[in-house]
Amino acid sequence: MKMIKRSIALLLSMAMLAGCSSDIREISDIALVMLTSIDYNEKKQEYIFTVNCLEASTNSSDSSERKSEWIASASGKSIFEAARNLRSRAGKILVWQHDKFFLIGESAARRSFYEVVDFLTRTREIRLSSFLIVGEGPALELMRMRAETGDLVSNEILGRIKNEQLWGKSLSITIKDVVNYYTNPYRGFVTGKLSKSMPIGGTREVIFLSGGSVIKEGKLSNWLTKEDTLSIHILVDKKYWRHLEFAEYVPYKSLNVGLRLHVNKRSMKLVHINGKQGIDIHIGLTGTIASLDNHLNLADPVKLRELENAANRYMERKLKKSLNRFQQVMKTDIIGFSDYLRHYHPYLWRKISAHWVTEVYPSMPTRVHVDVSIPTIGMSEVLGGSKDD
Amino acid sequence: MNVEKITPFQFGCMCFAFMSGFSTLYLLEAKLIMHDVWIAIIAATIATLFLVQLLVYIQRQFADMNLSDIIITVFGNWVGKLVLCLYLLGMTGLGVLSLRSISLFYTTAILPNTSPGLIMAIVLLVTTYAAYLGLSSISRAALVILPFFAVAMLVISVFIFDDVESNPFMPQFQNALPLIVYSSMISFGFPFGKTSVFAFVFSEITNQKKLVKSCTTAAIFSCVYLLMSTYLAIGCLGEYMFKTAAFPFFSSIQLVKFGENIERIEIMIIGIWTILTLFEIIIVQYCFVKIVGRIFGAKNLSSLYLPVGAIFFAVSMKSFDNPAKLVAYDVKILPFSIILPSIILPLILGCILWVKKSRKNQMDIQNS
Amino acid sequence: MIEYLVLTFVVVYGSWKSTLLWKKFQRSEAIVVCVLSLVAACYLLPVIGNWIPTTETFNTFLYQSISEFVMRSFHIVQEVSPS
Repeated sequence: MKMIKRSIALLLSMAMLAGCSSDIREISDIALVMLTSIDYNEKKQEYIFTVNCLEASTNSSDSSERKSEWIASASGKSIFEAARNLRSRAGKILVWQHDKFFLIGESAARRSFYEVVDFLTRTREIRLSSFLIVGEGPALELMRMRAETGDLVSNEILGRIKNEQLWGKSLSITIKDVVNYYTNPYRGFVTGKLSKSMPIGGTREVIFLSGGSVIKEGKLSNWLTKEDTLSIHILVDKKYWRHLEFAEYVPYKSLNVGLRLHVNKRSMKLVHINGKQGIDIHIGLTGTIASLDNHLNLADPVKLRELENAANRYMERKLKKSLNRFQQVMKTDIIGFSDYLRHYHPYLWRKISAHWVTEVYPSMPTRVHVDVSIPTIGMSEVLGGSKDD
Repeated sequence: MNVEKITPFQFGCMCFAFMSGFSTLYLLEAKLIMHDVWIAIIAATIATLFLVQLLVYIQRQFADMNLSDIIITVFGNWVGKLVLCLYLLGMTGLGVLSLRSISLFYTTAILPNTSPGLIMAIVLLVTTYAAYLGLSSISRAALVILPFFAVAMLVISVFIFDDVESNPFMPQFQNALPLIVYSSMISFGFPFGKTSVFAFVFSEITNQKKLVKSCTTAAIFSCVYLLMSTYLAIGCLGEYMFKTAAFPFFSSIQLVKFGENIERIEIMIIGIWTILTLFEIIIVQYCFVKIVGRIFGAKNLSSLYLPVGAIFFAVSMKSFDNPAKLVAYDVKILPFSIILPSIILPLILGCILWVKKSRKNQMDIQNS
Repeated sequence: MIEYLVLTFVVVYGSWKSTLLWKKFQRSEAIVVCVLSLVAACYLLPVIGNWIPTTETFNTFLYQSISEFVMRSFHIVQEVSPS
């Protein structure tokens, strides 16, 4: 009996051989990929794969500025081949588990997203919570630019994406959302747009996130303006912009009022508009007065109500203009009307889905109702106190 | 050989661990019918509850006998042993599927350069030893693990719920009835049809009057766990990403973050899946050894565990050598292969016993 | 490599254990250990192991035609596919 127990104990100790797996990696042997870009060279018909790496260190007290960034590129017939060809330049094992951004160059995005999206989804190291952004021009050039703040480029872009909910004029989505929208044949989607320009008072070009890139039928089809991007933030409910706060300069009589607005309600309903099936959108906004360019006594409830109505009309016009552009110019269901109809009106959806992209969506009537409430007017009522009217 | 008995509560916990296993790994029935999957899962659970009632009825006719002895008593020596061989075949199939599934998951998501054989061998070392220790040790281990499981799953579910952006329940009733029936069969095939395996440990419960309650509670909790995981994954990932992902629930957990910087909590679900799959394989091995001992009339079963572990390893190495075969088997073959050991044989057994009992009652009435 | 290790272990354990049990007059147990070890060894042998049916091949052989018939009758063929 003792013999059996000893044999079993010996056999069980062999389970520790799991430590000899070839998947074990020492921290000193790895380089963390912080940012990846994919370009496509039309002439050579090759993908160009560029990585921005950081050396992993066991000393966690090192500040990020002192860590060494290393940027390298390689090309190949497929993305995976290009990624593997990087090994000829890399002195360490490249690890993608901390890579939060994937930048797709304009040429690769206009050619086709399919292989890119498939590669990103199939590779086990790449996390679905990483962001996918399209670069204006070659992604390689954008990658090689230094960060404006002097921090790591990846940290700077991450910060800017977090700030999107305080601005609303840039929009970045995760790989999970890209896959979900990309494989949906009835809609397109918008993701981030990375560009470069000279900042005011600056001495060198810097990269910045602004506007969006419209992906339709698996390819980049349009760039989106900042205003249209903000409209998408307002109309579409996504977890990472639930605390969206944006600024608007609303005309009221002869004044312009600066408002800081939050979205507190978004809803969609199928209705009849002019005898056709249409979508009625209700948006609830809560605002705070940020600035006035002339005298207006905001302690007067009548004036405040008039201001709210003016803001309602202003936002309705703005959102309707964006919707018209999406429907009639881009002809791309960016907002997700097809998803709404498929979920909540499946029988109607079955009738119209065959012609959704070409006929139904571009001509579907839409109505936007915005309800702005301004519960706070700031720390002052009016400059110089109220005057007699 | 004296067998240490376990309480109905311990048995219920073990059943839950056995049924849940890695049921939330593939979510194949959900990929088929998406939002209507609740119909398939609940139908499979109801079928399981009826099966449990039938098996408990069979057990109650022979209170102190193991199901393998009951089968031989009812069917006769040779036919009974043939039926037991069919159960052995079924258990081998279940064990092999479990081993291959866990090794496929590990080699796809975590350890791509590690041989699946090594992973299966390590798993079998643990399960063989656990099966050798006996049912009371296994059930005590289940009692220790399940509170951690419950807390971890609750926390993870709350955080995944925060990531849910689309309504996972809409649209409803968009699938044809035959497809829903077939999905119910897939759901019964895996995970609910494994019920017939733990009928072989009914005789080792102290209070057999509480068998139905324990099994029913375990089945209902497994159903709730599966439903919760499925709908959270659909709502979090979206329909198209759900169908794209090889392991949808795992992918949805990968999106969960505690605050800004604490990520990678999918490690928790990996641990849970591994442990529950170990329980599945342990119980299958334990029952396998009991049945083999009964067929050959062996009383001292301690030396059989290692060769049985080796058989499971050997058959696993020759089966499902690529993921497509595994998924295709789960979808196309398992719903049909589970019917014989889980439904037909218990039904036949139940009918024979019921007829015998009716005849005995009639004869008693006539004699009195 | 791991297959050969397990094969060696099974052969050694099977022969040693069944001999030991036979000497202790536990004949049934000895036969069972021998049979189980033989089955495991057959599956692990390089050439023979590929010819012996497994539960996968056995069940596929038995139920594939039923499965195809059911899926054709219910028009499920188009929808059911590996992910």
